[in-house]
Amino acid sequence: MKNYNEKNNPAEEQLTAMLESESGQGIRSIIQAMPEDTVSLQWRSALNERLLALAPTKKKLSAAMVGLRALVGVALASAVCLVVFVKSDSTKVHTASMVDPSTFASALITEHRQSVVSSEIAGPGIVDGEVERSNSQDSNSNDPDSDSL
Amino acid sequence: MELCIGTKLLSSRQNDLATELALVERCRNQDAEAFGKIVDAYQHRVFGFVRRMVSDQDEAADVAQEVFIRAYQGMVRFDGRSSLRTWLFRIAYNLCVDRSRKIDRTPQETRIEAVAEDEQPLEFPDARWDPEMMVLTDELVTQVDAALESMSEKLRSVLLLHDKEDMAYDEIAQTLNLPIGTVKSRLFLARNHLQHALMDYVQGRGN
Repeated sequence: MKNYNEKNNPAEEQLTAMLESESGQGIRSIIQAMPEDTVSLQWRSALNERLLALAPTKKKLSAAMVGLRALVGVALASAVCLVVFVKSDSTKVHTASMVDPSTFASALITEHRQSVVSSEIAGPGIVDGEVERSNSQDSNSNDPDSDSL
Repeated sequence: MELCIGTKLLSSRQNDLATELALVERCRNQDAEAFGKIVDAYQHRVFGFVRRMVSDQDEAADVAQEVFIRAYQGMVRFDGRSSLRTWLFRIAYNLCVDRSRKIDRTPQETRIEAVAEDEQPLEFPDARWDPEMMVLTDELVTQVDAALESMSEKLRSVLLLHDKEDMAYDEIAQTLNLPIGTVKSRLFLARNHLQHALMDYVQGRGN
């Protein structure tokens, strides 16, 4: 980077003194007294139009950004849905495996007892439905074949 | 239309830098209104500078517009190390130089160092030479403009920035990317050139 504030040497000091002299300041006063330039309203409106012409590029960019953001949003939402879905599936499996062991055991025991009772009554090969059915039939005694037993 | 942030506030040495930086920050966020305020503050001065750097009026108007277009586009890159005024005038100067190169008009430049060494402080024994007493008539304004036009761009730019825009040496050095010593040399030569031109005018009028 340039050092703008370089140290003054004697020649430069002399130059500065000449610039600050009366004649130098006289020229300065003439330049300062020159009439100010002003731009016209037409110039300004032309500039505004040129600045506005730059705007569509920015709008396109911002529209692209909005589109991109929407895409990212949809992707995130999909990801969240996927996670929730997978989680709910694993929850189901988890729930099934989390059945109370004592309940399960008692159900097994009940099933086993029924099976034993069934086999004691009807002998091997009978299914549960038949035993139940035969029990209910016993109570009604309407079956024509019941006499034969 | 006078805006609350006027030319003087923005361009004087005691300007509110915080306000200026706030405007720049808003411009970075594509705030057109903030940029409009900057244009309001600097449009006349930038145009005045460009008009004297570019002789053709219509072309000067185009270049001045281009200054603000470039500023608008490059506001993101403005780091605030220099003042906004310095930055805008640097853009203006560079555009004027580019335009000059395009039309292949080589400046009639004398070697500054060589002249500066030979040059003696100017004295004006002629009683008719009294800048303070010179009334800036339309005729004299024309003479000054003609003298400025006959100057090289390098001298003219320094003279305008110092004597017209009231910039300090170091600010001009930053604007034109020059050492301060060179700025002073050029200013001296530019004033010398103008003095000679006006002396000719004064003497011619006196005869």
